[in-house]
Amino acid sequence: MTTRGLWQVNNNDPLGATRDFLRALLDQKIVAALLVPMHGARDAVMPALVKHSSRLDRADPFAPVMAFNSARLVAMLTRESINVKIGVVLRACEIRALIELVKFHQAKLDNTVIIGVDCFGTLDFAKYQDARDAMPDLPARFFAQARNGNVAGLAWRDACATCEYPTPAHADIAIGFIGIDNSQMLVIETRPEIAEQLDLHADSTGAEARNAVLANLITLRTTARDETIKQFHDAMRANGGAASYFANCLECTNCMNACPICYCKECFFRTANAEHAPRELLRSAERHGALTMPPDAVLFQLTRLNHMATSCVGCGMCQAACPQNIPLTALFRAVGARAQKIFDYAPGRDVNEKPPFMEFRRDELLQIGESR
Amino acid sequence: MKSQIGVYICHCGLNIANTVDVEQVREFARILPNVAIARNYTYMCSDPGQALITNDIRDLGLTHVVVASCSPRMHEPTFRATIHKAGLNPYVLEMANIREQCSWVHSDRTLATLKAMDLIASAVAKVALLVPLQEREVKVTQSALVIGGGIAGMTATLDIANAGFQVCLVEKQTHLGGRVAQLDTTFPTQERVADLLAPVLRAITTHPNIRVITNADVEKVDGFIGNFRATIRARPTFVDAMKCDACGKCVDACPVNVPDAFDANLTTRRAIYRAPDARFVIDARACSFVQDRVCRSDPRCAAVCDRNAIDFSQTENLVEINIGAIIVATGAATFDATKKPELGFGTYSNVITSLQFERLAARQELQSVKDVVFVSCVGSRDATTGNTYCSRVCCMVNAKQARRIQEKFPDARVTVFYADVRAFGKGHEEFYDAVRKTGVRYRRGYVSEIFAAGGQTPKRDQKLIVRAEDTLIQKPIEVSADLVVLGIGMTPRAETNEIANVLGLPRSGDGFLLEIHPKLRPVETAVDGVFLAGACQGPKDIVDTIAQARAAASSAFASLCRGQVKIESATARVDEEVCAGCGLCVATCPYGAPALIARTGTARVNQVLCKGCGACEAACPSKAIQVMQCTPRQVLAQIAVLA
Repeated sequence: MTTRGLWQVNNNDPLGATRDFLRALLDQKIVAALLVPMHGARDAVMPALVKHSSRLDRADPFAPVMAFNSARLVAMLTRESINVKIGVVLRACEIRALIELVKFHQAKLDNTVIIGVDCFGTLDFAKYQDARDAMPDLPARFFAQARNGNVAGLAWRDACATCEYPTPAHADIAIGFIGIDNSQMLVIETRPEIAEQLDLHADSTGAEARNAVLANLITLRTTARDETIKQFHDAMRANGGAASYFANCLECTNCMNACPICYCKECFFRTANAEHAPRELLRSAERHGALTMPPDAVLFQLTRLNHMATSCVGCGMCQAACPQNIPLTALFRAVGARAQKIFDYAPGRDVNEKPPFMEFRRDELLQIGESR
Repeated sequence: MKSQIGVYICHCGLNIANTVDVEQVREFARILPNVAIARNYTYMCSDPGQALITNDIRDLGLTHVVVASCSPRMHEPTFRATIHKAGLNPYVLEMANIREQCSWVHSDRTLATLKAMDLIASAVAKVALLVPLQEREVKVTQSALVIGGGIAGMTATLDIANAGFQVCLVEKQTHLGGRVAQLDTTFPTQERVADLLAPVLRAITTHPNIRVITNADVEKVDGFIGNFRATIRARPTFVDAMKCDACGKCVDACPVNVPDAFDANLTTRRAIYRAPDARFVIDARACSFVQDRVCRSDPRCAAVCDRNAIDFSQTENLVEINIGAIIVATGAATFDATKKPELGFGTYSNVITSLQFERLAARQELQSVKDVVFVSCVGSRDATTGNTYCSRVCCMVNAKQARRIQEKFPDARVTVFYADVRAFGKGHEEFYDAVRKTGVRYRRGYVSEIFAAGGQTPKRDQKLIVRAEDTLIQKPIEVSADLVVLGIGMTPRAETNEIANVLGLPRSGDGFLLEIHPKLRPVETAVDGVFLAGACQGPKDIVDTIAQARAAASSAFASLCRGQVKIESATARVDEEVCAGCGLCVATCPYGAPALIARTGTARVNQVLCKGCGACEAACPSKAIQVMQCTPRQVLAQIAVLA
């Protein structure tokens, strides 16, 4: 049961209305604290844990920049049981990552109120800074383009340009601004009891138009996704496989740090177990004539792929973190799509769906000589 | 202390030495890091071979040993004992498999020799990192649980009880006897089954060491070899056996009729009925009073019972027992012949299964017939049914039943359609020969169709035409029949999955329960202390079933007798500093050894349940869980040599 209601926007200021809405959540004690992106110094938009509604004047869940997948922070906040409700403002990819973390016992949903927001797409931090410099009216322009789903003129991150989830699933409260006149109203979808607390009445104004805009957006980006996956496979075949793809990998492990799901306390590649004795390196160089250095870059990447491919939600944080501009988003989307298909698995689809690693099905892989 | 490694290269006669230049390998091994001595010998597992190793350990002070020979499955225990005898910890041994993984699978002597060198260098790199482990033993609860009261379960139960141990025998049905109790006679000796079964049943029910729980399921099994704890759910029969005098008035009062499964659905019985062991019981699923507290009969069974034996207040009973060993003897189901609709079973009442034939014979209800056709391999060796295996009994059942017809009705014309006659047991071929000499016609070929003679609409009891191809004369033929008997095969029971899940047992591709090794360890399962007997492991005749039951019983009381069992030392351990508590190890372990501890949010391994298989370590993304003697450091050292 979901109530769809409208939240009034005054003075053509959807962001102000959103802040009012978030203040209401705190003031009505629907949540005791809020994890929400905030504007900071030097163009930073980073999540903050807000206790007092007076501090929400810089909150901005819609700013088209994503420096961080907050699923990790929700994990940090919920690993131990706490007896207060924490509202977490998340994009669809963050919610999917959070659901994956719950399956791996890294986060709990018991005391979280997921406040999902529409995501029209985000930019890499540097591109976002450029856009702000070039377009003083960026926020207004962004909301205006979202009204009819016009994606032109903004340098979307690869992950966002190929993302098929503009709206959040599994949210306790969803805030929408795409495909409606967001100068006048925002769409709120939530459970009836929360709607009642917020004095929100069922109202389907603009639903049809919004659905049409969303459908177009999804089609556009799904097409881009499929094209990216195809290009990835073509490039892989043409250029000589994984070794060439990771040719300039430093094994800096930034991608691992940025990944919301890579949950190990201590990465194996950062332990003494993964160190090589000089003697071993020389022997290997002798065997092969030459040894690419650092020696385990490809192994590291393939291991991450092996661990994460089925759970990858495609948020693209790995690529954003890569100092060498390795196109990791395409890699994970392409390999993820294949791996997820084999196990009929969609990361973040359902918290009760077991990750392929945790489940054995007799028919999931073929025996030698069998065909599907 | 610097490690001193001894490397021992076995020729395995010519098995290895023919393909691998063992002398060259020895010279190579001699100069590997930390290697103090390298030797080769014709049979390292022989007494003189082992003496080479023990002498070197004493004389040269070896700290670690590499044996390059066959698979560790073959001789790892041997060489562990060898080095232990000379004072080393048995776990500082590494085997390099240069037979199965090298000489047996290669023919190029130069390349095979190079590969043998690599395998040995790799083992040498690992062995120096091995640490001594403690051998461990746990105490055993000296009693057993047998699941299934058929001939397999009863035989195993008696053997264990006679050895002086307490046994609990749990049977799903209300009576003991299982499949065998439904049969009329055995093959090839044609003894009456009732005569064979009676003394076994008497011995079971009067034995002081045996506790029988019928109408019950094993619901849960916890623990490990020597220390299992089983929860048994016993269902009520609603009839007090101490009060019932078997007058049978209740049966006349009962309004419910259901097919009698014991009679292979040839007859019907009431919801309250006289079970095959002569006790009166209520079938809870059939009785409307048990189900819905309503009965359309007046007076009801309880009212007509003079002795107040019927008691609907009886409830389910949970029994918990501690045992040291478990024997699974849950038997097999019979193939459902309606899955072969072309054979007319269920359409024509004179097409019956071989099990129904047994019931008719046992009930002395075989009607005089002229033309009888037996069809073999119904639901066996038949990819269309998914059962590609041979059910092993149907050929001889056909022969026995054909002979029975021939003896009882000498004028009858009996035809057996067969694919191959498999008469492999003791006395089987002779019996089959004798049956053919009595005039039973054996025709080789598959039956394609059975249909009513004359007329399109099938009547239930009319003359039938059996159409087949005689593959010897390579012609289609038709044989008329008054009675067709389908030699149905065995299939895994529908509830096999439940019992497999309760005990953590794997199943083979055909769906039956899986033994560890078909030849060397035919009654043991992947779970230590759990053994298999009878048709739950695969189709079997009574002879094989009893043989396996007695083998399972011997295996079970081998550990019960000692009072202690050795458990795996190379187990998995968790580094709680590194463990993120994701639970992959818990999900991956086939033995239920790791568990997440709520307080710490990390995994912990039950050291007794762990078999050291390493599935958890492979799954763990940070290698926070590691199996002793297969830690990442040890395995990566092994790989680094080859990389």
